[in-house]
Amino acid sequence: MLKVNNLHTYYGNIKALRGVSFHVEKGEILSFIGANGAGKSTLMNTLSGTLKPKFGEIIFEGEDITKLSPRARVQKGIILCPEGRQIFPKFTVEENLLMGAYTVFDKELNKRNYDKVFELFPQIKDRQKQLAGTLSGGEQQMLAIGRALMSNPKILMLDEPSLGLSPILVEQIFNLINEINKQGTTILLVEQNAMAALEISNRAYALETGEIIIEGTGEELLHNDVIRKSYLGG
Amino acid sequence: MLLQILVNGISLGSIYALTAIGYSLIYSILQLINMSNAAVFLTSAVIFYALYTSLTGSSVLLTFILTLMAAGAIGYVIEVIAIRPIREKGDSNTYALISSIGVKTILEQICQGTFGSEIKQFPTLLDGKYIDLFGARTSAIQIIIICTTLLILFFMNWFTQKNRVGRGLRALSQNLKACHLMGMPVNTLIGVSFAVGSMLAAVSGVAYCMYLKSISISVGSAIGNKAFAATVLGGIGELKGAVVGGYILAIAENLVSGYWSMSASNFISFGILILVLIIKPTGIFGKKEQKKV
Repeated sequence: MLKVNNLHTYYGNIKALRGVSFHVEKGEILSFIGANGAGKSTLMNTLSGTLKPKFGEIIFEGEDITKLSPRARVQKGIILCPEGRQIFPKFTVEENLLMGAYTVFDKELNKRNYDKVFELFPQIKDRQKQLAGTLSGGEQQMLAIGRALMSNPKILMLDEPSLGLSPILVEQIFNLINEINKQGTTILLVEQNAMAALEISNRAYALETGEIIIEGTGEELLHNDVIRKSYLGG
Repeated sequence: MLLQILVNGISLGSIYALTAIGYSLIYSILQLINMSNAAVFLTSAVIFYALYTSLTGSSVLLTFILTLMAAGAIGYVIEVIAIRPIREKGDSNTYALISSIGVKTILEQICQGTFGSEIKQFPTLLDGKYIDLFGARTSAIQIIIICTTLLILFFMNWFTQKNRVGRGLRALSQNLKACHLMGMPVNTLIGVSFAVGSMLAAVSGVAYCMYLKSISISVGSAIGNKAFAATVLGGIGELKGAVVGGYILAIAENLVSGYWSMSASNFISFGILILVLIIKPTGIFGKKEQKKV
């Protein structure tokens, strides 16, 4: 579905990605784990189109999208739910969701997606008219995911969705990611919380200083010695 | 006397408010003070004058509509040519500010070159008609200006609250990166914000010259600078602040010129500007940004 070849991206003068190649299969949950500064967010930003790679190519459904704008990528079905949620604080929950549907002009589809978001996240359903800035961290994360789903994506990329959340909420968010996947959206996940990410992933890659060092199924990586030592606390 | 001052203040305040919204709108999105706004005020008045005296003299309304369209196009083009390249390179806003000053100077020079530097008579509406409003002599053009401004304010409120594009502009002012990620047409929307600001400045410019019944090349910077002071007073980046700031400033000016002296009124705007910057730089409605991590 998505194929990335030899991606090199600079972040300022720092070479943040050093030749990353991988592929995403339709219907799977794929995750990237790695420490702070490993290049995870740079990878996400390059895939979403807000950062331009120096070399390499990104192929989505057989088409080279390396040079496309973020908007064109969203229209093709790739969207990033960014790190730190980045919701619109002065907008209501409803308005935030409408912004997620900026590329969708089919009113019927919008209505269906809107209802689907509240089915997934009943907590924010009662808060449709509430300003998003007043929501709790967990609710904001749900809203951010819901907003991304409003674009009707084929691949949903999630950058650190568990960041700053309590363990119970982390579990809840990961269950929901699983649920979204079951409903047919391919998931590309980036996480520092390697344990939680690997448990729900079909496949995973470990990223270190801009390079993929290990790849395998979620299960394999959970039992890999290097991964256990570096990311799972022994 | 006081009522007369209020009527005059509200008329002039309407003119400040419309131009001030343009400053505030663009600042809220790009944190850029778009200095070219004052020149668009002048250019629009000159375009109106040129169209009216050469082509469309029979209809003020048609002239007005054509002027608005031209102003919108000028605003959009200013963004595309002078601001967007700097923005996209990721250079500092100071460069964009200087670029907008360049645009201001160029527009003023073009106006001076084509229009000349003398004062000319400007078309107005219902000249010589007055209404006695509880003792305050209110001219027809004052009523037209105030009513038009109210209509525009209602429209702007609807536009930014309920319209897809207007809501998009508010989204841009909250989180530009998220707008990119949601697939919003960010560049087009920023261009639209310049077009909207320019059209408001055009309404303001034409209204002011109709009020004075004359036009000269210095009209843009005089009002433009005061409208900018009004924007800061209300809280730059807040649209309602621009409106409230505009009315407060104009009423204050009229109070000073009514009860004290005409020449002192010109110090008031900039005196207030400096005081606000010292005491509360965020203005009446401005708040310090608070971000949740």
